[in-house]
Amino acid sequence: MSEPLLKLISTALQHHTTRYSDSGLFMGIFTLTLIENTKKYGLRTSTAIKVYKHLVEQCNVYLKGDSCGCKVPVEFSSCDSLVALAHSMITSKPACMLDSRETQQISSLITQAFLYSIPCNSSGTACFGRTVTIGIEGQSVNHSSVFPGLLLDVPEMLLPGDLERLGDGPFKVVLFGVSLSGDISEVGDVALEVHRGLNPERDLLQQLLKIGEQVVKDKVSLFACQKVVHPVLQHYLREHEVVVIERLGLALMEPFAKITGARAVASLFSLVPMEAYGLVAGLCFQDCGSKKLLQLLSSKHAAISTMVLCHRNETMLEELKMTCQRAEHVLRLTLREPYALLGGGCTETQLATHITHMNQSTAPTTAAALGISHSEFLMAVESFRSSLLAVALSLEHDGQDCLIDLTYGHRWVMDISSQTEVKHTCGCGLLEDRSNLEKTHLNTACQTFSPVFLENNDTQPKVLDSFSAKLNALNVAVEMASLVLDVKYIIKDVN
Amino acid sequence: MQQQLECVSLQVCVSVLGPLESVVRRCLGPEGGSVLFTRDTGETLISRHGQRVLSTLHLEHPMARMVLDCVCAHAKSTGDGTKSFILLLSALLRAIQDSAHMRRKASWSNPALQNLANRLMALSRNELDDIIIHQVTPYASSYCSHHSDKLEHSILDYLISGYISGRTGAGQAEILKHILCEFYYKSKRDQNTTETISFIHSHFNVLHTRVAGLPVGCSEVIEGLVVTRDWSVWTELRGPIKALVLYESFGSSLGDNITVCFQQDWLSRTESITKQKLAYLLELQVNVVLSSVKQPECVLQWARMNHVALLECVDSDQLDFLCNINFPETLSHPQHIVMLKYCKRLQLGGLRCAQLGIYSNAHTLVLCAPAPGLLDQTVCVSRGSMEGSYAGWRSFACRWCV
Repeated sequence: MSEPLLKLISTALQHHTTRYSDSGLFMGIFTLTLIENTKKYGLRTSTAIKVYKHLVEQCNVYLKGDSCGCKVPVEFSSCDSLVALAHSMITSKPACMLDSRETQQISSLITQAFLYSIPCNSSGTACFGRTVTIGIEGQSVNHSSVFPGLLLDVPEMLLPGDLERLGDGPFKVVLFGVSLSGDISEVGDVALEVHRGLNPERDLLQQLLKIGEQVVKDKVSLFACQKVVHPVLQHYLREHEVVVIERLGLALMEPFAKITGARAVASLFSLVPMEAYGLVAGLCFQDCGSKKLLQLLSSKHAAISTMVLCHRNETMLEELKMTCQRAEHVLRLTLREPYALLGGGCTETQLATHITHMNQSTAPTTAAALGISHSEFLMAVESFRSSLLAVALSLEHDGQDCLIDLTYGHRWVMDISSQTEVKHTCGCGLLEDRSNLEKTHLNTACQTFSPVFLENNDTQPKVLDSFSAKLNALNVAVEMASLVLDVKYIIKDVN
Repeated sequence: MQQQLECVSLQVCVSVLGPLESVVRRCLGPEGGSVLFTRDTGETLISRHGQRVLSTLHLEHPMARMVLDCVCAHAKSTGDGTKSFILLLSALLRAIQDSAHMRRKASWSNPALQNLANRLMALSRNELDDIIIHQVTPYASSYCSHHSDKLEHSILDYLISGYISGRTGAGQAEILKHILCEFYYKSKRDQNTTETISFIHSHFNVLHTRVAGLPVGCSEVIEGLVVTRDWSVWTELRGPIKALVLYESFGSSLGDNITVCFQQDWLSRTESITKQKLAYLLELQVNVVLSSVKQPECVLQWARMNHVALLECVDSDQLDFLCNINFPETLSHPQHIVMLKYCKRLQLGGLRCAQLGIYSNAHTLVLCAPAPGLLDQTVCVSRGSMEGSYAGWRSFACRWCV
């Protein structure tokens, strides 16, 4: 990325996708076409910047308003819109290599995991839960599933018989945040001078065994440690029918603590306080394809679930994991703003139509208020409109024609090769084709019209985009375009 | 080392200033744009701030460096007008050069130039002040003809607005102007203008937070102090809250080259010492611990058990600010106790932060920008606007005895 301006745009894009996980491509294409069109129409940059700022404010008002035709409320009572959102996220990432059935399955898994992570019946301040993702390579995607609670690797030497002996839950749990390896080198990078006759490692091991004794006395059934547990201590605990989980890792400490209510103990030399113990409702084995995992079920309705993703090879698995995390992030954003925008290019076409129509009649007054000429204003509006439509056009990869209908302002794809009488729908799936629906090609000038607002529609759109992500992308794109257009001089330091 | 002798002529002066003028010229005025600097490392800087642009250029010619020094000195005393300085200087030198024709000479001779320089100095010392006071100031005085509180506000708004418009693009200028004025007014309350601006100006590093990835429009002013770290241990607390400020770790700090004499029970003894220290804190009824370093695991455990909120790795500048502003009861160095109004968790563009309510009027300015380069520019301009307003306000206050 040698070109400095492109680097600037790509940095902004990366920051946006980190925050919102979606609409990065929309932002990139929109920024670049805005800059291109400004040059193409020969607009003065200061004029263009003023007009774009005015137009993006209008877009914000329209999109946040009540009578916005491209906004769909996300209802949490039915999961159709959530699944549609997740589905759109996954289909936009072809590197996962999923067929349509697998895509549908993964979308519903993501929605399920998301719904699990919303706490219910919690008193006091509700704390959002988490979904832990585990990947299993070498298996078919169909074996992926979501489990409530936490799934861990089965500890060595733990047999189904041991779990049966434990009986039914709930089981008492203790969690250690420090290393129980009995290793003196944990103290730090210092030289130790040891007096004769002292054996520090033996003393430490004695202390560890004391902890073991206390834990057994307090009738603990599950002993978990973030780091390594000394083998002698492990053996002692197993003899007393305590399940030992070591090497839990920092990442799982928080979900474990949430599920069990245990507080991590950090001290080796004092008694484990009673408040530090937690409870787990159940322990059982789960089969995921050919791999066995240990499941911990929460007694506290903790909003933790584990998503097990399977795929044929490592690369596709990594891609799938990342896509699922992003999709879940997008679903979480709907909690703050419970809307989604129509996908498939329909939002872009509607927005473009609406903005052009709104500014047609008020052009003279707006232009005067901004201190520019009427024709310059109209050209800038046209540049904005064609940039929005360019994004919609770029969605079509197979060289088919893109059309816009002159009533509702949705995007349609003309399938010339199709011979059958299939019911044709628009880009987002909301509208069905009718014979009297007049259409025209996307990149031609057409009569401006106000898109008709669809009320009380029974059909649900099939393709949805994230509202927060797209809104932010729109705003950031216009800002980046303004910044780039503002640059009048580039000085390179060649050293 | 070879020393090059160069004959300094008017021609040389004009040609040295030429490139500086052409760079700065494009940034001036409402139609002006920005300059983008790039390095091979990929670092970019975007600015239309005269002093910043000129300082970033690698100037080799000693005359150019001298001019840059003058620009910086001017900026330090007035906070503004660097581009105008360069343009006026260039124009003056060119006019002098061109006026050789009027004297029917090919060029100025050195003695003639020296004579001219002396006469210009005399003009500026004796007559320029009078010209400005009698011919220019009357146009400004219509804004300053009466002293009222409302006047103070509008002067500051104009100062900030003028400063910002000259240094950022039109798109951001509106937003930044509005947010900086809001920041000033919220921080003010009972203090007078000079005290407020001076306070903000000297503590700007601590009183602002950066967030990348959001449009500039998401910038806001938040009450209290914002720390860009998430709480390590969090509990709901209601104010007033006693907070302990720590500059070192509770655990035994072991440096390099220390030989620890390992006696019996050494480990348990170090643990019990830490426990004693922590128990003492509980006696003092401390609810919050603010630490500039990472604390050991046992401190986190203690905090969780005793419902104490803990914030680690806080910038020590912010801790110093908290201590100074609160007139703390000093326990013993390096520990201080400060009183806080409240403690909250905050989400800034996806980043989890801590918000501390303090018993003073300080607010935090949260500046957002889509990219880090633009964020630097925004922060720089905001800081500069406070400097510029301070300088501008001081001269206004002196002149009109406010």
